[in-house]
Amino acid sequence: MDALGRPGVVASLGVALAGVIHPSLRAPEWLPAAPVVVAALALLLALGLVVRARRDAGARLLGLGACLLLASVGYDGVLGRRGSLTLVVGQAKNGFEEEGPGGRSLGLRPLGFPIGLERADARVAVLSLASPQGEGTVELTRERSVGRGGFRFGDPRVVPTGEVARLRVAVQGGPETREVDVTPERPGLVEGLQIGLERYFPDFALDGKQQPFSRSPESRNPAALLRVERDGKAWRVFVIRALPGVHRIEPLDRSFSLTSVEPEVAVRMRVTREPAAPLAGAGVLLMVGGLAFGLRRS
Amino acid sequence: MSLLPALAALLLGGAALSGPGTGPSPGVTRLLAALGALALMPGITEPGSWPVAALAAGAVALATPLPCLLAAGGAAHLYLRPAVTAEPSAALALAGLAAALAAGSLSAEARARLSGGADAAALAAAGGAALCLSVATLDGGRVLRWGLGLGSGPARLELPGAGLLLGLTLLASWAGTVSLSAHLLAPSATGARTLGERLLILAGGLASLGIGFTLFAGLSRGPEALAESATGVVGCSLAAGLLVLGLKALLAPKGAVDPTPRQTGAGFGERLAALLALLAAAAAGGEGWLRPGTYATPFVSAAVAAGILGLSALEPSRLVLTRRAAFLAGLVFLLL
Repeated sequence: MDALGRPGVVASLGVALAGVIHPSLRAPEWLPAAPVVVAALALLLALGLVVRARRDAGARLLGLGACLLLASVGYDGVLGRRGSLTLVVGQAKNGFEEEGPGGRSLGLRPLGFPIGLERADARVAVLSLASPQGEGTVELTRERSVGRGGFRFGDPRVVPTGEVARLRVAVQGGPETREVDVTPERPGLVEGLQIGLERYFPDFALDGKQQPFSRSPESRNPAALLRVERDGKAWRVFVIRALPGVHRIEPLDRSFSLTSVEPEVAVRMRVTREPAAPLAGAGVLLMVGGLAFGLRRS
Repeated sequence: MSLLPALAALLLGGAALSGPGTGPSPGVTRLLAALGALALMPGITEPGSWPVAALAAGAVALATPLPCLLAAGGAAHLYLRPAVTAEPSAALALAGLAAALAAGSLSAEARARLSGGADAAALAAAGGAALCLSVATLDGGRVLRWGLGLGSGPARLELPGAGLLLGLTLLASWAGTVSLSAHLLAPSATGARTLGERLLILAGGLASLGIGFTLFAGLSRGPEALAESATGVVGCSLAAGLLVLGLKALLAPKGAVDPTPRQTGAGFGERLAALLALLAAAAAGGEGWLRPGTYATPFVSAAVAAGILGLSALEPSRLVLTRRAAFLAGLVFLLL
């Protein structure tokens, strides 16, 4: 056991461990069982530091700190939780998509309390969270995570859902061009026409059988299939933003254009539960204390 | 674009290259480094400049070539790619200070070896290898095909002339490094030493031309493209600076090296650097916990790796110079 405390062994273990955990070397891509190797190297390094702990108080602090750090990271690695939660405005959930090693989905994991999204923009997401005092709102930004019930919610990102919140459709052919807003829930009314949304394609394309589909949820080439009704008769109208006025309905003597879209967005945030994080921090600070002791002596 | 970081880079670069051999000339070096650090002060309100300011402060305190060179690289990077949206990060500032101290320890260790009679050819070969590696990886290895471009997408700027110059640099530095390494392995091969020296001098000159042309063309024709490729260009400049420092040591007359290096200074500086690196890891973990909500981020991993390398560098064992260089590399990766 004493051999683990030799300078050459500690130095070699340290360099090897640093190399394996450094993100730029991407060890998980080329090293089989990288987590096991990391755990083994970290354990041996901590043991090496503990073995020499009888030398002086600085070495004892260093060894104790290393053990505390290793135990905390190990605890969080095995018993901690990490995953993501996606919410659209007005939606509430009480579970999140848990992820395992390598981002593998482990299914839905309950949070134990509901969390909702009240509003969101590119910078801030306002969450409604239950607390002992009742339901309250908190602001979540890229710069500040929030904690509740042992979980931390952070890194909010606005992502498109592939649906649309509102379309603006121009109706041409009358005395003047008129524009009307259409939402999935509420049809637009203009010139006696009722315009409803049947289907939306955020990134329109045709497949090999000339069937429409969307290549992505991003609004790169938005198009929509509308249902236009007047006097009890209905027509299906195809509009695409890239080709204004492409579809003309002769009985109505009108053509339709999609002038703008407001895509429906959701907020995807990271959810983590790392109960031993404060202990990990304390472990590093103990190691700093051990080094500071050595510094004072040198 | 403020010119002050560029001025700071020039002053700090001048500080790095001032003085005879690898020995310090603390007065001039410290004055130039202090002026360079002062030039960075107006931008200190921008958190993105904190790591460079910390590097410059370390360079002023130590007044040795390697910290000054590192601070010059940081200032040049700040000039080419201003970090206007960076979040305040105590971890990066601590890592900057730790990097300056680690570089100072590396300088001190090299000086101690040289004053102990070690051959400076190893330093020059290390500089040549660094230049070789940095040029070969620039722009995804395009220099290996005699080409060079800055940036990507529609803003990409093709610089075939710089590609040719840097390709020749790569050949000369590779051949020079191999020749000097051959001499180190077989000291009786004196011809290899002379050839290596000449080739590395040629490589240093070609690198200066190539990098100078790249900077001139990038600044005049495509500043955005240059900003995107700033890390690679600054990396090449740092490697060229290392080569120049190695060549200075190699070509210096015997006795130019400070005969009484501060042996204990390296130990104190290294311990302080390791301590600061561990503090940077703790700060990175805290920042990860407060911002994205977890300490399991690549940045924290890199910070912990640098801290562990710092601990390894303290061990009184073999390959101390290599471990100190690895520690410094870990901190530089963290800053990038």
